[in-house]
Amino acid sequence: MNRVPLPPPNAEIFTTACDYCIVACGYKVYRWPVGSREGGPKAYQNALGIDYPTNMMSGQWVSPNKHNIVMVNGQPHHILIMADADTKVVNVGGNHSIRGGTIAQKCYNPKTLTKDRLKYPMLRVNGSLRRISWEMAFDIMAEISKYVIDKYGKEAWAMKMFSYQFWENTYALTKLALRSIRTAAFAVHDQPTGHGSDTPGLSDAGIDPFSAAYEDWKSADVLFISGTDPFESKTIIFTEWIMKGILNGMKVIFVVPRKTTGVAFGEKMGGLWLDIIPGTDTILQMALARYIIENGWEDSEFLSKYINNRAERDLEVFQANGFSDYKGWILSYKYAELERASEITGLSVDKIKQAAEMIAKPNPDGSRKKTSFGIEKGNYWSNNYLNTASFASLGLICGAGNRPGQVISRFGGHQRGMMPGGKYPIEDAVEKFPGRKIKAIDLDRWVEAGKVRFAWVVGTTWLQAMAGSQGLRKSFEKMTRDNPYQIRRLDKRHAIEMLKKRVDSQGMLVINQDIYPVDPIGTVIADIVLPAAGWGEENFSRANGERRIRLYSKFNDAPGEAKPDWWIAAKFAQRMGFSGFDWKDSNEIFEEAAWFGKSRRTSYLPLVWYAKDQGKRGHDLLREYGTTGIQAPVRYEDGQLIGTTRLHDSTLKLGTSYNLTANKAKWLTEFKTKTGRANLLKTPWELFSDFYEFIKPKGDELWVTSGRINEFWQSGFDDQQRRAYLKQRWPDNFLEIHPDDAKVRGIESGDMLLIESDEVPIQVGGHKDAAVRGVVADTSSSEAETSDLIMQSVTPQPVRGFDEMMTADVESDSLLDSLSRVETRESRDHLDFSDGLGEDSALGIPWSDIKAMTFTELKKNGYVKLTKGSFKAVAIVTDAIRPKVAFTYFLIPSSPANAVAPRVLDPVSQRYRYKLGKGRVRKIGVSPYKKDLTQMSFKPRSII
Amino acid sequence: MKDQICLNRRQFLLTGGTAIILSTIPGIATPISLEIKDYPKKKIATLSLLKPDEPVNFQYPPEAHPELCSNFIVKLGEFAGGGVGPHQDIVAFNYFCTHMGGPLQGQYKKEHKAIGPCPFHLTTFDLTRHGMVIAGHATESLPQIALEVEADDIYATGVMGLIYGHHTKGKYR
Repeated sequence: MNRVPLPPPNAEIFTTACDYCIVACGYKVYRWPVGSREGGPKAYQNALGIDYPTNMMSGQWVSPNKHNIVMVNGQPHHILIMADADTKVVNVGGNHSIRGGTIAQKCYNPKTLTKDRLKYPMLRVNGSLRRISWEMAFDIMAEISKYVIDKYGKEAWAMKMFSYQFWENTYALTKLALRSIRTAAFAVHDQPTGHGSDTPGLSDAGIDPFSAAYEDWKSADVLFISGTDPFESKTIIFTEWIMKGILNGMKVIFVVPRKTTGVAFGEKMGGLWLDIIPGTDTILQMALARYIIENGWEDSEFLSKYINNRAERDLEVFQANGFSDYKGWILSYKYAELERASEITGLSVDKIKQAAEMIAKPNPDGSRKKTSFGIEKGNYWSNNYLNTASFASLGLICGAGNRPGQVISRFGGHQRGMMPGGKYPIEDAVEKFPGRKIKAIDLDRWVEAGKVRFAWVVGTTWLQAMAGSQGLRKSFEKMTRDNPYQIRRLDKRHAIEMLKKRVDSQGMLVINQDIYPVDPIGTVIADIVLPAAGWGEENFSRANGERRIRLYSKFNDAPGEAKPDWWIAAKFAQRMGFSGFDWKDSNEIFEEAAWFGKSRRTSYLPLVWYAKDQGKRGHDLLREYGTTGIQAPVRYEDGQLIGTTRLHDSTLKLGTSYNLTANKAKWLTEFKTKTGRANLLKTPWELFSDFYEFIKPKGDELWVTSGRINEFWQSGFDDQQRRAYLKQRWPDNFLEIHPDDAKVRGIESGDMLLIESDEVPIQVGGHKDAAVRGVVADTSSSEAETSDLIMQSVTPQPVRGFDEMMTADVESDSLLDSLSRVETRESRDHLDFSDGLGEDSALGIPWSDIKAMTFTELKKNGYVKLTKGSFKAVAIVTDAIRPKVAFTYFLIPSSPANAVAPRVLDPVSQRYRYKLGKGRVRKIGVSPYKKDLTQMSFKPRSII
Repeated sequence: MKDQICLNRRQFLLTGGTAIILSTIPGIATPISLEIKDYPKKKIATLSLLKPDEPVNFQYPPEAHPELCSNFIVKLGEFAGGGVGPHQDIVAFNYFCTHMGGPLQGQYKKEHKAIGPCPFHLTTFDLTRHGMVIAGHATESLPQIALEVEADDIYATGVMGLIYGHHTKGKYR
């Protein structure tokens, strides 16, 4: 493109935020009709108000990828989508990532790669998708839904949906699934069960995982980052906040097996790279805590003031009776010893000591350094509960968690777009493992057991997004296209008749609702495909990673008959006869959801209340806040609306509040526990070591871990696949491999590789009436501890009742057990962990519940089976990755890393361990990019 | 269109055709355009004087913004997209980061045949692959200067992509 049109002075301007990563940078959309007079290069001649060419750092260069042509009420319009150069928050001064900088290319334009957007509802007839009307789609869906619920129960009706794509949509969809249908067969895009905290260890410590403000990431003296380089895909947290902190003297420790730009920069500026072996973070975190305590470097003043000195419950597995109990435990715990930790983590003793000194050793004058702790998926998706719990304990003993520049928090993945319209009906979940009485349904396993007859998939690939993905795909195919009952003609009665026969013969109707054809769930499996409208095509709202709420303005038409997800849910609900779905627009949902979500961390009820008081609509008041938005919980104090910079902020002075529930939450200034003090958690490695010994690479296998890269976010659809520049940069999936590992396999950069494993463990069965049990030889390693030793490792002094508990027949005392479980839930009920839909605490879970879910027990009882998985990727040989570890993108739909990821759940939190894939790697050819110099680059991402 | 009569030079520059066909998505094939805007030819360097891995600065195009249109030519010692000279390893690029205009002077990395990191936000560019972003935030590749060799003289003849800050390659003043 040799020129980019400039917006004329009278161009319309809309505010929005980027659709992609958690940071949600502020953007402005300039819009003017095609054919009308364009702006000129002088400041007074254009809507940007600046002279062209622009100066360095103006933040207002109109690069070609910021321009597009879209339709507005059927008329073509120019748009320029520019990071807001005037913003004082988040992306200060118009900073942006490559993803946001090219976001204009995401908009629908039939002359670009976006031309295959879904435009009409479609029905699969003789294997091909044919256009139908919305009416016909709803008629079929409603009739089959009623039939399935009547005949097979509401848990045969399943929904799998994004957790993040705007509050108005998630509220409407969950209101339908959880409040109207009341199904327990529900899960979000990245979890197999329901929707809960991704970092349950933080939650159990009393720390909200989104408590920090972005300014905290630059105002510490030392920052400990585990499981991510925020430069890669949370870009602006790095370039606008962490990087400025580093330039101001802040030191950063990165715990990741792979060196990328942020790590390299941090290291160059006096920080530390701990290139840890995947899955061993708990060991590192315990060793750091132990070394700190051995040297007396803990923050005693903080600990005495802010830590609970007694566990909430007797016989507690995780929570310590205060610091002294924790100290006694960790000083005597063999897995916290430095030498052993060094051996397991692959980090030298000196490096571990150096890290401990950096984060906790007081300054020569006795003052303490301000240390903050940031966590992401490399950490919490490899050993979910123990990693997050030991991370929280480490942060707390260093005095972090409740002060500016001293925080413990997630950086975040997707934006915070879940606004539940109902509560997960845990009481109706029908999972049944020995000893485990109440557990949310693992939806993948539920499908595989043949329990689902109607599955509605909204905005996720489902299959490739889950671990052990190849087996799951086979189950779907068996129940849909391989079922004998297929729709043969475009006729509603015929379709309904066939689908009833389908569900009566162990089959399933799958609905796929998305913005693009998704392979294979939409292109191959679904019988009904529904076109959704997305970002920029409706007025939406949600919060970013510092709880900042913005209005995401509508500025162009959705293609064809595509409709927002909330509209689709509402029309279907009305067809089902449910009340409470007669919204006229998305604003009405925003206002209704404010009441239902009033106790959440993203509560904004005062804003809606205040808008009403001023005679305004909620969305319109939010629009007035522009790209600045307002940080939740929104409070109304001393006669004005104010945002909340950070949670658990012991320095926060609350004003006189109006009587609205959200702004009275104690956790604004205290930790999120009953007492307001944080919990120190013990983390027995033996709960994980059995699985770790099984999963770690053997022979010529490598770890095959996965994560994001900076250049794209929505892997399945609108950037890696459909934005030309990003597709040119990354036309295919890649595998980073160390030169030593490449050499012995004869691999060079640009070679095409096959990554395969025939030992992908998956969990099966576990339902009340399930006869399904996997058959697998017990291959547990002799190194792994038996589960029964775990309780001893946490509780060195046997307590009364311990023996009885350990030996009791877990089946026989079910009443007692379930009572204790119920009590646990009630006792924590006032605490809203508000990441998701319900309670998610491990505190007070009886030992028998945990024991039954350990890998050893699952395997012993036949609940684990081995499957195969493989994917292809282009080699990038680089020493920026640890030897024996390979790294790949987490989800290119045609080449999903999850094919080799284990599908066995964390025994405590029931989360996947996506990052612990392993496999054999071999060259199968040469990719075209090895010689074609116009696509892909094989240079390291660590050039500094 | 002036561009269309320059096919020979463009094909040469792209080392493999005028466009890349993205055909991974069934039914969709969209060319990525790597269009070159021609400007008056200007001698910028002497072939025999270029030393490996030592960038030489020059201004181009002549009538453009004097500060932003500073460029470098470098002999990479490695076959490169758009490279000229007997080993097709001589390439030239603009010095300003296509993210927010950070200056890349002094950031040539000979061990990687790359330039960067940009001092502002750490973007890096692959000089063997038409200035493609390696890692970072630029929404476009680093503008490559089209080159021609005549005897021992190296000429700049055009620019691929918009130079930072500019909305047009035409007259803007």
